[in-house]
Amino acid sequence: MKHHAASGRVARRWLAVPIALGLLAAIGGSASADSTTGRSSANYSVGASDTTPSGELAEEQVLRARLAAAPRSLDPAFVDRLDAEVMAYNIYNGLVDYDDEGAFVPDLAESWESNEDLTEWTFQLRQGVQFHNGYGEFTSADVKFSYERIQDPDIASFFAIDFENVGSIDTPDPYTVVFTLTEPDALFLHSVAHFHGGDIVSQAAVEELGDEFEASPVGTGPFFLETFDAGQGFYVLERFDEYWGEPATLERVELTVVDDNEAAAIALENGEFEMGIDITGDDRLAQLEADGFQMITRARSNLITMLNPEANPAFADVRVRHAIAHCIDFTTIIEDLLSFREARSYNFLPPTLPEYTDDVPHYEYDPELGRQLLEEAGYADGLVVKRLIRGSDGVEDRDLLEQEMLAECGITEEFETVEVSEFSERRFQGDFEIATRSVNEPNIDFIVTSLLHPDQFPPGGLNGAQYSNPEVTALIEEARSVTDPDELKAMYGEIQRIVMEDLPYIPENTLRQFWPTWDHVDVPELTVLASMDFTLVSIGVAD
Amino acid sequence: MTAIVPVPEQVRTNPRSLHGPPRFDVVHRLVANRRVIAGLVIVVPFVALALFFPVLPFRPPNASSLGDRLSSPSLSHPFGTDTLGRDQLSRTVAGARISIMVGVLAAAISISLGMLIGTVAGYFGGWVDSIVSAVLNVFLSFPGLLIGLLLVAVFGPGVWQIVAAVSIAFTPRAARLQRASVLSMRNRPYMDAARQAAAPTWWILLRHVVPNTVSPMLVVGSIFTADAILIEATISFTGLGIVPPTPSWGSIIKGGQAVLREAWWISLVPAMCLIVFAIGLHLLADGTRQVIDPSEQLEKQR
Amino acid sequence: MLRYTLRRLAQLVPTVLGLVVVVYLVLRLAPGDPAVSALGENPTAESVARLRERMGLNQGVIPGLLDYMGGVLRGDLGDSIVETRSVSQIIGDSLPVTIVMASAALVLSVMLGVVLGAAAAYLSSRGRDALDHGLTGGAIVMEATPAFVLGLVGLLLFVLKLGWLPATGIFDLVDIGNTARRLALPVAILTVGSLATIARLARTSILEVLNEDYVRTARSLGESPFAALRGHALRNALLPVMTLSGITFGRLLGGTVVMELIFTLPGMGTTLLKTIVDRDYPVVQGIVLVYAILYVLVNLITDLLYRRADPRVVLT
Repeated sequence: MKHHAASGRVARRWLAVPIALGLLAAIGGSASADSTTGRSSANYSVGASDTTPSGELAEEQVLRARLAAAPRSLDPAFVDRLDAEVMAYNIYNGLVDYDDEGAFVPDLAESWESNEDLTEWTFQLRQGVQFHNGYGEFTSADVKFSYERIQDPDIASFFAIDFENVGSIDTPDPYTVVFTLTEPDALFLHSVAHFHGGDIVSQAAVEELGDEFEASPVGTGPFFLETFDAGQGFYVLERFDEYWGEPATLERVELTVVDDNEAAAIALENGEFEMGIDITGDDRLAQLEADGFQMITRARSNLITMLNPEANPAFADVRVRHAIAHCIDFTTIIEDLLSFREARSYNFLPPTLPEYTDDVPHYEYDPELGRQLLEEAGYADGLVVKRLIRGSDGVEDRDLLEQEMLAECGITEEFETVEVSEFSERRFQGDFEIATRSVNEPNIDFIVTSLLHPDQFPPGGLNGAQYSNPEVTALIEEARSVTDPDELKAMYGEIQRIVMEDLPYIPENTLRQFWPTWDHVDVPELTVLASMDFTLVSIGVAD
Repeated sequence: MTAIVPVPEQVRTNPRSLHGPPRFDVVHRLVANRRVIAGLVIVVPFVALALFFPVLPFRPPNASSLGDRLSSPSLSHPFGTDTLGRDQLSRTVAGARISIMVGVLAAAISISLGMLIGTVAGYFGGWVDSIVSAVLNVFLSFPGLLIGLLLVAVFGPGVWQIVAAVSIAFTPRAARLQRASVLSMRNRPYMDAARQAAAPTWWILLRHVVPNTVSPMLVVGSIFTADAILIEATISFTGLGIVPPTPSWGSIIKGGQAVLREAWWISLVPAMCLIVFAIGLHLLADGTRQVIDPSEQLEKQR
Repeated sequence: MLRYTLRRLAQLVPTVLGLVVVVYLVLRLAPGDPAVSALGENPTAESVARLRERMGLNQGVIPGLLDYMGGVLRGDLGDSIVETRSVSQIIGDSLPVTIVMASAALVLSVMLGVVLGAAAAYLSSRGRDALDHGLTGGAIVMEATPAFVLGLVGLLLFVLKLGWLPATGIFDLVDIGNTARRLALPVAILTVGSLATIARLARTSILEVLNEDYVRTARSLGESPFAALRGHALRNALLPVMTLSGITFGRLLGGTVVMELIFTLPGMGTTLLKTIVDRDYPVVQGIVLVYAILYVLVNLITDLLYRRADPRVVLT
């Protein structure tokens, strides 16, 4: 019957797909050896021949950058993520700004001073500064308005806490502002700095636009927002020609949201973007570097592991905590797995803070010592611990390695993977034994208070290790009223030493962000807060 | 002259013929059917490997070996290694174990539940049927993959969660099929006879309804398994469902996506396994349907 | 017919609302707090409380549900609690991509499927079974191949290696050229996935009809098979295909989610996934609603077309 002859043909047709896939695989395999082929649609090409930019400026000064996520709001009361921060940084100004070392420099305030006990701060403002879109001149009234709305509970800003200690804001004349604080605050400048809630908005614009302000922001910065298309994920910043400072070379910055990392890397390589903001993946980054991209980077924050003694009583014993730190070979993990990113971190504070010190106990890989400590603590028979894992990352390679290493010390680490939203919530509630956090604030008082103060236990606070040491608590509270920078440094240094001795948090590594950029673009380093000043960017002539 | 084809003697007196040939004949025909054979040739080795994986001499699927990262297929690593230097051959077979288990379990659960619900709705009719049908319609108004995604996003990642999600997503389909099946045979003469004889309901259900509706469900079972495996792979691929380090075909494919250009084998091998295994299941289903389906039988008899 | 249509539309309402209730409850009862998620690494009790207030989350499950249902019946889907747009805006922005993709794939697979099926039926009736068996084999393979695998392969080949198609960029529906380039690959993959099944069904159906008495009569009177088909049989032969189209559309809707993910298209699927993770409740509910309405509507339309084509059918 016909079936016999046909079945052979049928079988051959089924084989077609695997064969086709095999062919494709072969193509994939052969082409991967030479990664510069295949970019036929690219506008540029990258290779060993390109060294430094030729110095000539391109005719069209338009920077196309990739955003990893859509900014939710450009209202300084709610700017909290990288995508919004990048744009806000170029749209607004604060009273002061940070330089590359994290020291304070003038921004909209030309000068400032405080009284003896740091409860009264006076700022002299720059004159003749214009807001975008014809909203007039910047005056002290705008400063008062901007910060009072952050304090306003109806606005419900994330940053209200920064202005909690502000009793009143007075404007004796259009170019002077006086803050009267309810208690001394040596670090008050952080609150009015060019970051998050410290940015100044135009009172007239906010009053006129109301709810629409967050998508049509008006500031004093070198760029103004020209397009905010949340539906397409497309945003445009245009150069503000009446800017009070050094004008930008760029005419426009076009930001497009591509949330898939792979697609973003592909688009970058194809020439669809000049700059890829926050590209991740060590293999991907290694390849981009090999292909000649500039790997603009900054250590944005610090990854620490929180050990919660309330969930696992073993963590109440300092020997157990030390043992864990000694049992994991962080250096190998970082060099082998995270070679692209990170540096080993020996301190719970990120090294970007001016108050950071390296003069703290270091915990090197020493499994012998670890086992010994565990034995002394009474866990010679082993110890079971549970780590909370965020579902979107899954159990990562480094987690598996750490688990292996801990096993060699007799510690059995179990993983509990939960979905992203649940992870955030459980961490917030303190419902975990081991979980990681990243520390990334510029204000050291905020960091040490939230991590180390007994008032900040979860639920409700960020002191996930439930650390309470009266000596440290006293130092934290005292430091708030110290003016002498050397004394301040000494006090915070002392805090770091004590905490690293107690080790409620085990530091693992720094967390960098990478912004791979085509080599014909002249681009500065990232700022101390891991953002970018677009006024320092210019597009050279591409080859 | 009207051409009335007389109902064959066999069919008239033995109602089971309406739902397929006599039992012993079925097995014989199954084994002889070309598609069933082809399907078994594919499915059996996979299932065997998956079942016996723990006792076979494979490298441990989660054993990392950083020196061997991303090596291409070779003698010591026939399927290459991944980003942590883990042997892909062993991970693929381990993945088969999880994926097949998820597929079979989800299919079994959804078909069992579906048969229960569908039988109740189809047999009792009336307001019971109306309510059940309304609820079924609610779930059927939504593509299965999306139901699965929604449930998994809420349940969280994990093997049992995805089994639950896929089972819930497939149950309405099974229920609807079963209901239709029951409806079609509810009013057969022998059913009337049983009711006349005052047989208890549960007896009728167990003795007549279920056995006669099982055979179509067998075919469906094979297809559901294939679909469940595919949906698990798709869901794990989106990053929900089964996450690393648990190897399932979907999560391995996802893991290989980041290094698709330089280490394409990581994603490709489990993808091929997935496709071939699903083809096998479909062949099995197709062949079984050919054997069991009475209309095919009658056509052959012409 | 009109009564039937109205009755079906009326049935649509409780079904879809039922789905909305189920989704609402599932979301609220699931772990995870959108406010905590939104605040990232530094949620303090105070900022979480303020944000929850701002998001309108302190209402309680049942009052919130009643509130929402009231809104839906008025046509108001609410606002996103995570970003600035309203739910209607978000859906309006992302719906076109999904619809265009799914519809294009449906139309193409039906058209091509019928043509292929007819060809196979014709050849088969002449005794040449090759295409027929090819379709069977193809159908089995396609049903076994998940769309995301084809998507990955397509991405690797056409975007990475050959660079023929762009990976990203703004998606502007009005720009036909751009739309065609961005959608070509996903639509092709989706079409290929459904094509063989439709073709097989068409082929079987056409063959059956060709063997019917009235067609044989026509043929015995001298009509060629094509004419016979066109004149009498095609309509009847395509009825099953129409029913299958409805189901196929449902599968395609599911398929668009994966395609959007791989090819980074700003459609409802990617929006849905993102808002589920963010726990942006109103948007998730709104999108689920729209998917359900779409699916039910398409099935209704196919049923109605079926009825028009075949008056013998009694619609229950």
